[in-house]
Amino acid sequence: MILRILLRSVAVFVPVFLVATFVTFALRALSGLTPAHLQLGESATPETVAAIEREWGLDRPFLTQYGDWFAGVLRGDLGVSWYNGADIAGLLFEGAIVSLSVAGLALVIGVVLGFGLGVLAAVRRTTWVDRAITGAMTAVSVMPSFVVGIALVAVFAVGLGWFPSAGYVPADRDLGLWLAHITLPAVALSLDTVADVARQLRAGLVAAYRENYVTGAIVRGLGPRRIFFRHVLRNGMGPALTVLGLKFPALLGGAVVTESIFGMAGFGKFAADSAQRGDVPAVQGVLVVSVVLVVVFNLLVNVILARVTPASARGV
Amino acid sequence: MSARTRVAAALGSLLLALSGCAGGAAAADAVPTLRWAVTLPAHWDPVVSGSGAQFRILSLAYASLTEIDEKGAAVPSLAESWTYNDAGDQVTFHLRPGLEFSDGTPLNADAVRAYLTRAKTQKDSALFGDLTSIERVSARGDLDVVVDLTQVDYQIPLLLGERVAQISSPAVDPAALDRSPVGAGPFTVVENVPGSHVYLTKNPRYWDAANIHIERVELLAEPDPATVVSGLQTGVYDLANVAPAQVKAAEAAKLDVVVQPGYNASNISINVNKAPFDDPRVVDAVRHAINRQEFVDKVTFGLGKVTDQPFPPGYIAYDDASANAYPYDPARAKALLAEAGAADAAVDLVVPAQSTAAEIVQAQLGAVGITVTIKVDPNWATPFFAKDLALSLYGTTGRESPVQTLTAHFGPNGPLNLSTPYEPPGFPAAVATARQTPLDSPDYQRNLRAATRAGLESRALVFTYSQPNLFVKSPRVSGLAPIPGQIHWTGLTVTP
Repeated sequence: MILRILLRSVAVFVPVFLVATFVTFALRALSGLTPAHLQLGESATPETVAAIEREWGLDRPFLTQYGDWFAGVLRGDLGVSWYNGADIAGLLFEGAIVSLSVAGLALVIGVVLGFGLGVLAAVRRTTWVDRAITGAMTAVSVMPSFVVGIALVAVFAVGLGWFPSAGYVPADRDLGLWLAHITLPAVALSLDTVADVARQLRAGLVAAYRENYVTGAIVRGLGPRRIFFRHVLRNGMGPALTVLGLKFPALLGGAVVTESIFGMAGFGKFAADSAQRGDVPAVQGVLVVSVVLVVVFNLLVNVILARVTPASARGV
Repeated sequence: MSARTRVAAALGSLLLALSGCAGGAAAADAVPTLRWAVTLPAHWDPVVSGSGAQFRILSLAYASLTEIDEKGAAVPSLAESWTYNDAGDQVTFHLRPGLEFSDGTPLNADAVRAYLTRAKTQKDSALFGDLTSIERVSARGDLDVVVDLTQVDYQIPLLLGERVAQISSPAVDPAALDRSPVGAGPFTVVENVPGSHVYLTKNPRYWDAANIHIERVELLAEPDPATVVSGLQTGVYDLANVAPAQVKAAEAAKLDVVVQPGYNASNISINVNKAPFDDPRVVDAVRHAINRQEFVDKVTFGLGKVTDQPFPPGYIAYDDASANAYPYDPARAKALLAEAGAADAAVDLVVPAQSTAAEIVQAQLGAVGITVTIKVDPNWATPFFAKDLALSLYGTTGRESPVQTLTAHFGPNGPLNLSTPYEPPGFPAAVATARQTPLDSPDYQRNLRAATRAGLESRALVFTYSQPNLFVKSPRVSGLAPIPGQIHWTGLTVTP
């Protein structure tokens, strides 16, 4: 069954990847962007621009350029940045570690708090606890991470001095400092996930409680704990898991904002800076890695979903 | 251990870990360290890095032939002194004896010759346009660098300062240099992760190392302008560039706001070869339609100054006699447009990114009847430097050599002259006179101002405002010397 999910994912991935890379590659040709001005600045004359373009091979036929680039991608070589001539694969790897640290912790916070609050609201449904959680989650879900990030810095970094306000320390240098640096950005980034997971889980669980098999289990005299874990949670968590699967790309995307606020040289900031500079090979590299990351994460969620709620694997 | 206690234990250890490192970033440094939040330079080879303001950051790693002082005059650095020949078309720089690059390579006359030749000839050089006055560079003995000029030019000691002559080691391949610089500056790069950070340590071989009191510099990718100030407040950074909008917040946080003088000036670039600006009356209408104070108030938050010249007021080349030659007078502008038959003129303003300045231009020209459509073109540089645009905006960070600033704006091949090859009739003669006047001559300032006046006849540029270089620093960092356009590391201290 898991093999079938893998095969189906690969079958979807390959054409998506081909089309996506081809389109972004074509965008360069359409945009007319060149590396010349990033290098030449005020010294740019039409002649020097042409010379630089020739040096980068941009005067060759489009399909030749695409073919060469794609062959490089398959080898793990994403080319070099127009902006600073650095190896893009290396830069993306460095940035991805930062972003995955933050997004990973945000995901953990999202899952733990989201599931905790969702379950609590469902178990105490229609009480004041439920109303308070649902209300709070609705409020939280509309707060932009940009604003939340600045507020967290003002309170926990400047006001209380508990956390550093910006920067990043690799985990292998100092685990404690690493955690301290990624906590505020992860919290800012996680709120949306917490809210969505909690609300989806509450709705799923409440619906499951109304099902006949739950009534049946109660009639048979099963304990509430056993009913919850065996019947309600298993059947009611599908939507929340699916939402979680969709959240990962959002976490990576949201990283643009939090990384910028917290001065972290992550994947998102790299993507945004490269796009603003017109550093086309870097943007293409970002796209390749994003597609791969998102597909892999969705695959993971699909596998978990198939284990927890077998019906989902049958496409029911 | 039950599942629940395990979770509790994990949470507990997480909290312990967090509290253990709280305030870790603000911990006292073992060595005096300057943490500077900046836009990291894309290139570390000064020849490739070229114009723009990056030479300020590169000055950590490279020493230059000359530097400038608080008055903007050239003072010794690697070159102890310099002498012109009688004709004024050859200048010899005398290097300090015993200079070395950070890798131990001797920094002699031949190394300087190799650098300047490379700057003139390297394929991706961003400096060759600045070096057109230089015909040939040769080494005489170990210490004398002989620079033969294509014309009489007394600006060379200013020109060969930080921006243009940050000497790199000839022993290193330029491509490798671009990644990992080898210069003779006060600091040596020890770690460079592009886009993330650059770490430097003090270079004991720097000629003035005795006066460098900082042991370590960390360049860190700057955060969003909204959190720069909090980064300084919490000790994550010691120094940062600051946006005018954040200056009040920085002052409220009891940080030092450094208003560093500069040569910056912003302009509206006009192409007189394109309609509707091929009619001089339309250009005059634009000149009268511009209210410069609005730029100062809304773009620089009052920190800048109005200027109608490519320099800030008070600068040696600023011509008081030309000030306010075209006063703000929208009624006059409307009349001129009507006279030119261009009362319903429409034009595209092409800019690289959305900006407040573009919107102000749109509103002010709109008020007199010129319909301006703002077009944001990320590929703006191509048509701008190919002189294909009719109307655009530009800002210069200026040059140490005022003559060079003038030719860049008003010369027939000036990169900032959107109307190439147009130049005002009296300009070539006036600028030649300024160039041929020795810097210590009593006529220098007068000739320079005359050249500015001649240049301002150009219809290709309407200057608007000048903004100083704004930094915010922690009070732990000692004061920056008010040297226009440059930052000097000599004497600077950081209290741990």
